[in-house]
Amino acid sequence: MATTPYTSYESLGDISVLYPFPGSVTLLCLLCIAFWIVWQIMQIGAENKHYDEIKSKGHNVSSADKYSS
Amino acid sequence: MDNELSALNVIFTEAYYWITVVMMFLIHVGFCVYEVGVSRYKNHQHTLMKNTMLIPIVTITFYFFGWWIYFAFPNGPFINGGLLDASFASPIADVMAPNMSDHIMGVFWAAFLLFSWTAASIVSGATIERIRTGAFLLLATVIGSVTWIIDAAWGWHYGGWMVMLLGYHDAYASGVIHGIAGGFALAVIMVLGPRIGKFNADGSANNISPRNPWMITIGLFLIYTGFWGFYAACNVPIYNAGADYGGGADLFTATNIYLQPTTLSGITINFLMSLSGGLMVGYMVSKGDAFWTYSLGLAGIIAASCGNDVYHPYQAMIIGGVVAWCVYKLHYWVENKFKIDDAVGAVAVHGYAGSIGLLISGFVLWGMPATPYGDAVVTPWGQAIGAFIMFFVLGFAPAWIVSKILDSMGLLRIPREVELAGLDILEMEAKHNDDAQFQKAERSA
Repeated sequence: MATTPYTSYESLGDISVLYPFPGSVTLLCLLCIAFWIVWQIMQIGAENKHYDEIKSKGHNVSSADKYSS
Repeated sequence: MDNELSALNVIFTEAYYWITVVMMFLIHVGFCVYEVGVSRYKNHQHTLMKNTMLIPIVTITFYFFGWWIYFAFPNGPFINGGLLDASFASPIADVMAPNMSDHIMGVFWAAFLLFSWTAASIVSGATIERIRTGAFLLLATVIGSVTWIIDAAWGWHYGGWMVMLLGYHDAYASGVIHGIAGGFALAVIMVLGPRIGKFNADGSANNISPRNPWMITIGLFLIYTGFWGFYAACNVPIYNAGADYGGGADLFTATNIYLQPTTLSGITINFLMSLSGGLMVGYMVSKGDAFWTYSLGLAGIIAASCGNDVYHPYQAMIIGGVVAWCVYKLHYWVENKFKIDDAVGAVAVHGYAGSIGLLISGFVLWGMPATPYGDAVVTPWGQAIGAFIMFFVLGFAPAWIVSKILDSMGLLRIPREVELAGLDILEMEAKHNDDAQFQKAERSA
């Protein structure tokens, strides 16, 4: 059993793709696109939470001076 | 690759593009350093991370669909023909991965990808200290993986409709990268609005000085360095132009992206001469200000880039200098007239410089063949229309639409309280508390 489309280098000229599971590329592509979209949504959610926390703590224009000293 | 000579040709080309990619990485390092230098202390981390995270987002989306667009859209589609078969550049193509039958696709893709990062990073600088990271990353995807690569298919491809019908010539991307990114950035910052405190109630502008001008100079030096790689990456290093279209006999040469002959040696002189023109005029017009002298050096290169494959070095120098002066004046005129807060001068240095450079090239290169594969020649009107398409049609318009949509959803600009306190205020507070706790422990030990 082999995950790659070749099991030896005896016929090197016949080898093209080198990666394992060559038949799964479409599925992997869809999974990666889904990951990108989910990541983008989660990032926006995390960013909103970050801003809400800053507002809830009542930070203002003087806060940076206080914490940078 | 069944003989040493053909193998040497392929491996040389593969290595050539690989080196350009590594060099171009310095452009992004430079942009990150530069933006941190411009931003205020309370925004450093978010400024850095915003620009850093465009790397993975633009990379994966350029792999998903950006690269396919370049090969599928040269005709428009439906301006000079239909959609082209570009299945070899799709995200499931065999050659878009380690493959013994192809050595070039990956490095060629990566070279274009680094151009994508640059386009998005130009926009990043203009929007610092008030755009949401999520919004920026969506906009970076639009320009980095959609609109700029459409303009490349149209005007930076030997069969692109702008090249074939308008005679558009833009060898090192005055409009293809810089014009579009400047137009894109202008639309985003118009919708976004200025930073709080940038303009007074009477409309006068306040200068928000860069926190660290020395980081800016290092950043711009790094961008210059990476720009060398960019120039080389825009060439095809070795091509049998003679056999293809030059009379039939073998004649190998370097070419530009349109497969027209040029030399790496010649463009190296022009790069330096246009940089010099920009720096010299920048130094004088800004009275020796480091930020503007370096920026206008960059503007000088950008302005001459469209014709630097064939310009004489004196022409490159003069164009670089003249455009640098125009760009400086235009930046402050636009800022005061329209209350536009372009934090790093990106619209001017990239958008105005690239567009004016294109307009000038139409006159300087008037009548030069625009392609070896058709009858189109370079004209002032062809370059002017091309500059308009780059700056407004593919730059300004999509950015305006997407920014308006994001703004209507409350996703474009950070809340006012956050902008005043600083994007990094929670991290600063945590560090302050950690330091206090550590010092207390240290004293009681």
